[in-house]
Amino acid sequence: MTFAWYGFALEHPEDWAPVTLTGARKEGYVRIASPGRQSIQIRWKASAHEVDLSSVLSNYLEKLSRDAKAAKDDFTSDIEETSDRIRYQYSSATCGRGAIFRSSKSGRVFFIEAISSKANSLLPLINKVLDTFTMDTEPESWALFGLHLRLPVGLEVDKKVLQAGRTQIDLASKKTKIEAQRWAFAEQLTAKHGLEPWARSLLAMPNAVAETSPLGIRFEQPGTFLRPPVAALVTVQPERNQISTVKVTTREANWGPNWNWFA
Amino acid sequence: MELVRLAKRLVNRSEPLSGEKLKHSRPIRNSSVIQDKEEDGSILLLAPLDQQPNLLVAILAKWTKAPEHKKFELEPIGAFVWNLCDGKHTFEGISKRLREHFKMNRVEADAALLAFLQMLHQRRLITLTFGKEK
Repeated sequence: MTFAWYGFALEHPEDWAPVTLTGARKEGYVRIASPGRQSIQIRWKASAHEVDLSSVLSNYLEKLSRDAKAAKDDFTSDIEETSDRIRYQYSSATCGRGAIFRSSKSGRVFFIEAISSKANSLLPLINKVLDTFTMDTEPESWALFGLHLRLPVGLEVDKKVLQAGRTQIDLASKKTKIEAQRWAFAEQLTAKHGLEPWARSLLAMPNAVAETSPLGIRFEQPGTFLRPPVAALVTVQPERNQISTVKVTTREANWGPNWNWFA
Repeated sequence: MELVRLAKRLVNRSEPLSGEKLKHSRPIRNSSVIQDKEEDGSILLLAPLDQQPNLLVAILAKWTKAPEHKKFELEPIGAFVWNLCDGKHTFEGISKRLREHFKMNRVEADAALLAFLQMLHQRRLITLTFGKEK
C-alpha cells in the first residue's frame, strides 16, 4: 500500500498503517506501524544550505546512546556511507536501521528508519522501504488508508480526519481549497439510494449539475459574485470496496479537478 | 459493595471496557436478547429492560408500565459482527472476517470493531469470555 505525504512516497505492507502524522512541508514526522512491534519512521527538515549529514547522524546516535545509558541498556551502532546517503544501524532495547539523505530539489533532509525489538528482521524491511521511497515528484502524491491522489505541487494540509471507514484530507493553496475523502463500505453505503444521491449529499452540492462517465461522477456548481465555483469528482474502487471523492473550491481555472488526480 | 454497585447502576456510571482487554476476548451474545432479522440484512434486537445498565430507567419503565424491552437496530455491517459474537470467534477472528468481507484495512476494522463491541458490552447485549479461539 502506498503512503504519500508532503511530496514523498513509499510502499508499506498492506496491514501497516500510519499512526502519527505531524508537521508540515518544511519539517515533520510520520510513523507507520505494523500490527506487531515493527514500525517505520520518517523525519524531514528543510534547510536552505548544504547540511553535514554525518554530523546530524552523529548527534542523533549520541542522543540514542545517552538515552540507552540512562536506561542502563547496552548500545552499539554502525555507519556506512554511500555516494548519496548514509546508512546506519543501532542496537539497544530497541533496534533500528535507517538512512539519512538530502533532497537537492527541496533542500529537505530525510531520516528514514525501521525500528523493532528484534534487529534481524529489519534489513529486508528498510531495504524495501528505501527502494520504493520517492521524493519531490510532480505531480505530488497524497496517499493514506487507501485514499491516493496525485495533485499539483504546493498544497498544505488544512485539516485531516482519520476515522474507521473514513479518511479526509483538506488541502489548500493560496486561492484553492481541495477536500479529498475516502469512504470504506462503498457497496453498503450506496446499496439503498445509489451513488449519485449519496455523493450529492456528502459533498453538500444539492443543485450541482452531475455528469456520469465510466470513471465516475463529476459535479459542477457554478460560482456567483460572492461564492467561487465548486467542482467535484466521485469514483468507486470496487476492488477496495471504497469511494474516493475530491471537491475543489476555486476561481482559478487551472485548478479544476481531473480524473488523473486519482492514482 | 452491593450498595455501591447498585448506586453505580442507578446512575449508569459503568466505565467502557478497555480496548486491550476487549482484544483478548471472545464476545458472546446475551442469550436473553431476542433478535429479529430484517429483509435488508439488518437485525432488530430486543433487550430486556431490567438488564439495562441504567437501573433508574429500568425502574421508571416498570413503574410507568413501559414496554419490557429496549429496541436496538443493527445495520447490515453491525449485524454481520453480531452474528460472529458466538463465543467461538476472538476479537482478531472477527476483525479478520470484517477485513475479508468488507475489504477494510486492519487499523480501520480494529477501530470500528472495538467501538462497536464496547457499545454492545456497555448495553449488556454481549458478554465476554477469555481464552483461545476454538
